[in-house]
Amino acid sequence: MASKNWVPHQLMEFLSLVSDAQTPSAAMRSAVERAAEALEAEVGAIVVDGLVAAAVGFPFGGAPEPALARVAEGDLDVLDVPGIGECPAVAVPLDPSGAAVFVVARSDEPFERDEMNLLRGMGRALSLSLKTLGLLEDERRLREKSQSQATMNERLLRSLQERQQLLEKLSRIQRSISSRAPLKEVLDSIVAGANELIGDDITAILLRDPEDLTTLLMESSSGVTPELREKLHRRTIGEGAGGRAVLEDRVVVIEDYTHADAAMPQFQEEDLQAAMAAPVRENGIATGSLIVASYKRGRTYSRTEREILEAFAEHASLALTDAKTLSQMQHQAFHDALTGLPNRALFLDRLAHALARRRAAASPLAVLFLDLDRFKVVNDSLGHGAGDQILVAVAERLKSCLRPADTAARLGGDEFAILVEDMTRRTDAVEVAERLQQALRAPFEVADREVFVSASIGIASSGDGAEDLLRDADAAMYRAKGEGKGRYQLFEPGMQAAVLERLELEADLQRAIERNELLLQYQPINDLSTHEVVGVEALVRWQHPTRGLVPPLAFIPLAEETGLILPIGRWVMEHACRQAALWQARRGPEEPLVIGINLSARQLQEPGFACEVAETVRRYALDPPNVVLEITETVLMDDSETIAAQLAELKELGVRIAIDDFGTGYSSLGYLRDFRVDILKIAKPFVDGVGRGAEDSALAQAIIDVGASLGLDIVAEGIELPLQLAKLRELGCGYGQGFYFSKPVDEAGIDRILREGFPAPEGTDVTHW
Amino acid sequence: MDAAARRWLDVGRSAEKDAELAGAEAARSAVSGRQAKLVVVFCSDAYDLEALLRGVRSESGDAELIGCSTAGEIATGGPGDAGVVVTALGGEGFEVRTAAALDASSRLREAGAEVAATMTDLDGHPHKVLLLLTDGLAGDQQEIVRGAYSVLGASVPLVGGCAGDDLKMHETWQLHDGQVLRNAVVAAAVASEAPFGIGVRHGWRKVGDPMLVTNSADNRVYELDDRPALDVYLERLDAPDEARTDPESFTRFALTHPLGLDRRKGEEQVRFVGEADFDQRSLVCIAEVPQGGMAWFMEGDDDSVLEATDAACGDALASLEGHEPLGLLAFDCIARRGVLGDAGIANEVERVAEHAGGAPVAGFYTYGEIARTHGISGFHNQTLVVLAVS
Repeated sequence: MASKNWVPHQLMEFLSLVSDAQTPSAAMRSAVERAAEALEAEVGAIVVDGLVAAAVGFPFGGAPEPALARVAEGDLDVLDVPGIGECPAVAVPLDPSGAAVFVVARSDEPFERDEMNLLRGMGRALSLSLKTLGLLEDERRLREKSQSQATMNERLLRSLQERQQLLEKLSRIQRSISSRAPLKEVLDSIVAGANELIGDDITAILLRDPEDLTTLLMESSSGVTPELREKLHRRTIGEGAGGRAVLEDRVVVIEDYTHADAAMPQFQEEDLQAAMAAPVRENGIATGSLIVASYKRGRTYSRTEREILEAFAEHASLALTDAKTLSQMQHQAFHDALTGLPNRALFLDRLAHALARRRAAASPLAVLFLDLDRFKVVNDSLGHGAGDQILVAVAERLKSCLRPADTAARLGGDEFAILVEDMTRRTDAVEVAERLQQALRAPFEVADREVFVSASIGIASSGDGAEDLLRDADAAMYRAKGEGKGRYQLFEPGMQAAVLERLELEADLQRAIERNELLLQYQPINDLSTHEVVGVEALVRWQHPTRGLVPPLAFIPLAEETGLILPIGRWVMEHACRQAALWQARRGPEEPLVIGINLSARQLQEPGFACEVAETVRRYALDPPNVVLEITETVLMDDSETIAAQLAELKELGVRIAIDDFGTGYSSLGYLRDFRVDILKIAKPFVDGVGRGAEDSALAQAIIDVGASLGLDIVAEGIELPLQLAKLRELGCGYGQGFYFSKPVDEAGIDRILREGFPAPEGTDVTHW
Repeated sequence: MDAAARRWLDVGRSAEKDAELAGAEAARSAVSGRQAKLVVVFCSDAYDLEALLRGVRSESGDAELIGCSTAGEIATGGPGDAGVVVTALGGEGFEVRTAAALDASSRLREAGAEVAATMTDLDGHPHKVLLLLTDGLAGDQQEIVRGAYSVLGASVPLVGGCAGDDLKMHETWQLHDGQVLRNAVVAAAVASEAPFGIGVRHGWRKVGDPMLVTNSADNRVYELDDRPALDVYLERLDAPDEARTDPESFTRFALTHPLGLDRRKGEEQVRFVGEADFDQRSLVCIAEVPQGGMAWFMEGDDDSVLEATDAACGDALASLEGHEPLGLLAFDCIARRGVLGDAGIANEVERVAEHAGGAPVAGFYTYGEIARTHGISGFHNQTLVVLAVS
């Protein structure tokens, strides 16, 4: 992974190195070398006013000055490097004047934005060091000159020596920034340095109050009495020299303080004579200032003093920016960017520590693995923006349910994990799970609508390794999900095996189509008055090579979850239509045979599904009304625009829509009208009640009445007894299917039925989808 | 004249106890009575090295010579300890100059620059390489590489290794012509009519999640993720009990569990963890570990290390632009030997020999490896460097 902190840490290494240099040329030489190393570049150079001041990567003395100068000017972006050939080259100025330019070139690939930023940062750091060293050199020369005049002025000589020590202090500040000393310490040393070097009565650093961005706070100071500090701790941006330096982002000098407009009355009272402030910037934005002030009459500031103040202020900027970057970086490496929760790495780390503590203290802990139910549907239908909003809100609610010592983390996608420590009882974890589910119960408001979200939770509390515990909780969550939405489940040994089993089944299912293991069975649908076969419902089965015939309930939900339902559904559509065409051809157009095909929500969400159906129906020359697509009530309830559009398109095509298992869900009658449903199929449990008595028949009666009032055909499912048949006919139900007529059979079985009528009724119905 | 006579390379070895006899025996089979342009000697520090050089030079005459003591020698027939391996090359297609720089530890960079300057005398042939043998105990080896690079620039690849002393970590030796040197850098500038190829691979892989180096100075790591570095190291790697208290056991364990540092594009730079400070709970590495960086613990096993061997050989041979190799020189980190064990390194050398396809192989187990082919950095840890000569 290309880490986010690559730049700051390279920059700190770099600063530490150049601040060790004793002369400008040594600083430039090590600067080009380190820049080239950091960027894995072959060559680097510093070009000052068109001349090469330092270079690396060329044979000794062989740096191509004219070409480097052109790169520095921006006229050239490739450099011909001896021994390599043409390399992409970039240039960044060391400071705003642009007189000195950093150039690097490398053979393998162009430079990325991150790398350009690094180079710019290095340029600034080098320019700071050069400024420091330049001052130092000037002082040295001056001292040498003084010394040559021997006894000229002993006092001057001593003062020069003192100042040299101070300049060396500046290098030490650079080193303390690069070694990441605490920010307060670095700021204090900057104040101390500026104080000694400029020699004014007051020196201070003011920084913006993070709580109130219009105010500056005095972060570090020298020469400020406690009483004065009390009065001046806080000031508004724009006030006094220090406040104006921030507002105007430039050096501000006030030399006649008693009469100046911009002066602060508190200081005028103190008889302050002059002040000078330079801005301190965080990531390039002025957020504070370094200020010096004097009580001495007639105090004015020289150009050198101004430069010195700026140099110190720039050091403060660097320290501030670095401190901010570092704390952000530490956060980013271990937190989820969307929700701000700890990420998987941090969660596992905390869990490992908690386990170590548990070994010592024997206090129980638990891991809860939480997965949102139907989140994909939310994402697909409302968009990822809405999905993200829900994740953020879920994170908030989870946090609100936990004690400060517990950890909630986002593992990725819609998966969260919670670590509960120091439980007094094992049942505590269950209480937490119930509390979490309760917290999610209230609707979430996103995209101007209310969205309901539930979560399945797995709980694991014994296990020695962090990874193991999380895996167990995951397995338990899986079981919870399998038992319905919005449940929790404690981990039990054996669940892991179930997860493995499921993974195996999934892998097998992947191959089922290509290995030709799927097959179709058909159950006849009859006219209840004439007992004639009017249609068949196609039902998919999986003939597993070792497990035998896998029941639909054991693989259809899995197929839905994994998306395998799409290829399976396509296969069913193709084979059912082909078979229907064969039968229809045999029967002739006077005797239409309806083919019923079950659809899943996933198929309807697939763009282009309706077109696919249209294509298949046309290819087999089926009369569209003879094709009945069966969907469940929950599909209508998904309320997705895609599904509505697909259903409308299918209706346009002329195929008919049946609601399967009608009565088990919660569909409103409005849906039936809106989606222009053609057929209702009464779920078997209602059919079972028919004939037992008036009350038991009431539900079937109600469905038949609804159908009649909306002009829909009604098909009763799971008819087993002659009594049921008679009663249903009496209630006005037109069609039916079930063991009374025939269990699902293969094509040959249907052939026989179409030829010869029904064999004797037998056994009970099986579940189908 | 055919190509073989224009350029030749041969390797001889000896495990003879007597130093002079051993030197002579190994040199005899490498030189075979021809006039060598360069002789490279890798040998155990247990020998009387003056005597050994006398033996070698009794066969090679005044041919230019460089060499060093090792932590194990490599030759076609397999790895060995307490022996000597001599490589000789010659023919009109090669041109060679050698040099030595003394007192390296006090002037690493200068020493690198000094020996590299010898390359400037060679201008007859198009392909060049600077072979460096250094004292790995003399300090920051990257400084030596920087020195050499400051003279040669990007046009000449650098390759080589740090001398060893069979893991005593006390004193290593460098050889130049008839002299036995210590605290030195010796180098051979080789120019050839045909290309050289260099392969560099390490074969370690990351273990677990990344950590931040929250407190470090130079080569000492105090804290990882704000916790004592040693504790994190022992816990996350699930170190055996004895490594938690006994310095020697720790070093043995650490030999196969280096630290990987995040570099550009996530390529990691490997740092050998040399020792633990059990009181301070810190880790001492062989080279600098910058504070604020991202780091991983790493581990290797036979497979990963041997995969790296194949890849390094493959890379080296692929750069020969279709020429057949005359021979391979391998600079193999002693830590890799730690992972593979004696049986494993026999297998490794066999693999290198297979890649060479009949061409001779020579090399040694190093305390650090040098290979600069692109970019400017060229010092490596825990890595295999292969130089193919064609």
